[in-house]
Amino acid sequence: MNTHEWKEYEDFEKLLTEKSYSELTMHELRLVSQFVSSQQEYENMRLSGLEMKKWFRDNPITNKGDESLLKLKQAFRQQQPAVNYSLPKVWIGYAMVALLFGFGGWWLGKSEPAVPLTRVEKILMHDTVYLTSKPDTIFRERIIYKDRPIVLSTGNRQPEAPNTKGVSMKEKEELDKLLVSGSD
Amino acid sequence: MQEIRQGREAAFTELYARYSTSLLRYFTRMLWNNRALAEDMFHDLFLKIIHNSQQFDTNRKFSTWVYSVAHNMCKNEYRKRQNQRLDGIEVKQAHDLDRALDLLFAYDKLTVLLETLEETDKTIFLLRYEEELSISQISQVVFMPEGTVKSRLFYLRKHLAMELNEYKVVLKEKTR
Repeated sequence: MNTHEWKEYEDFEKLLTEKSYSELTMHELRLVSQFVSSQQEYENMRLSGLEMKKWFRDNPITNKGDESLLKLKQAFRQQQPAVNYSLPKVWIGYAMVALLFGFGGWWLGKSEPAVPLTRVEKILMHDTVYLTSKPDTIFRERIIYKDRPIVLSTGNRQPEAPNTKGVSMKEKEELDKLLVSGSD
Repeated sequence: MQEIRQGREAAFTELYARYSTSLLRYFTRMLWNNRALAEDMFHDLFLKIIHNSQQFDTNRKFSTWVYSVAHNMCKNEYRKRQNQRLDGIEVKQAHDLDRALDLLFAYDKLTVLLETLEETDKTIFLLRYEEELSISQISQVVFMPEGTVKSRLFYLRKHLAMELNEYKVVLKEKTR
């Protein structure tokens, strides 16, 4: 056997399984020639390999060991702790941290002086809006007197109308009173 | 393996289903077809898996690891018994052709050939051709460089071819 680095041994093995000597290509023949010196040698190795595989197939060793599995399972259970603590451990850890924070908060609150609390109450109040309106109309009675010039004519006295009613003394007095009180 | 560490029984059952047959087969072939002994060793191996699951390096391939353990167990058994046994018959390296032929007729040619192999060669041979492990995995199991594993495999194949060829010739002569 020539000294070589065995790099292609797996390829050689594969060829032994898959191809007879006559089926090898030039490249494959070159590879095979690194391991065997003749066709006969190659074929012997190939046939023995096939026979070996057949022998392995024809002589199977099977495991019917349900009993073995049961025993092993038992051993497996015994190996494990009675309770699987992996998950509860995490929750216990969380609970401890929560308790720690709770206690810390309580302690901090306790150590500060008490501050009297002022109670603030909120009251909801409804505002009332009164709308005022002016009276529409203002009545104001006022008598306005205006000066009236009195034309006194002496010469050209117009003749009195025949149907003109005269003023009695009483009426004249009242008129005078009115004249006096009517000035603002 | 991680799930087994966490105590999941279903994972253990799955692992058992995946490897039990091949490991029992390996032990049986390695330990001179002694089924009872193989079953004991197989049981011990799974107990080791259960007890030492924490020690398993999850970066490693499980099959490589488990076969390494199995290989070491077989090694110890070989140390205990210097002479290989085949159902009570001492085989020792069967170079005596007549004796070998008697055995071949009594048993099976490949069984006998396997029995004549040295322990490490037998492991390499079985792991490669029956359990179909890669060369790299085998090199990790037997703690040998890949090149050495390949050269050993090659010479084993050659030896096997030669022995079977001789067997056929002698068989023809004997049956005449």
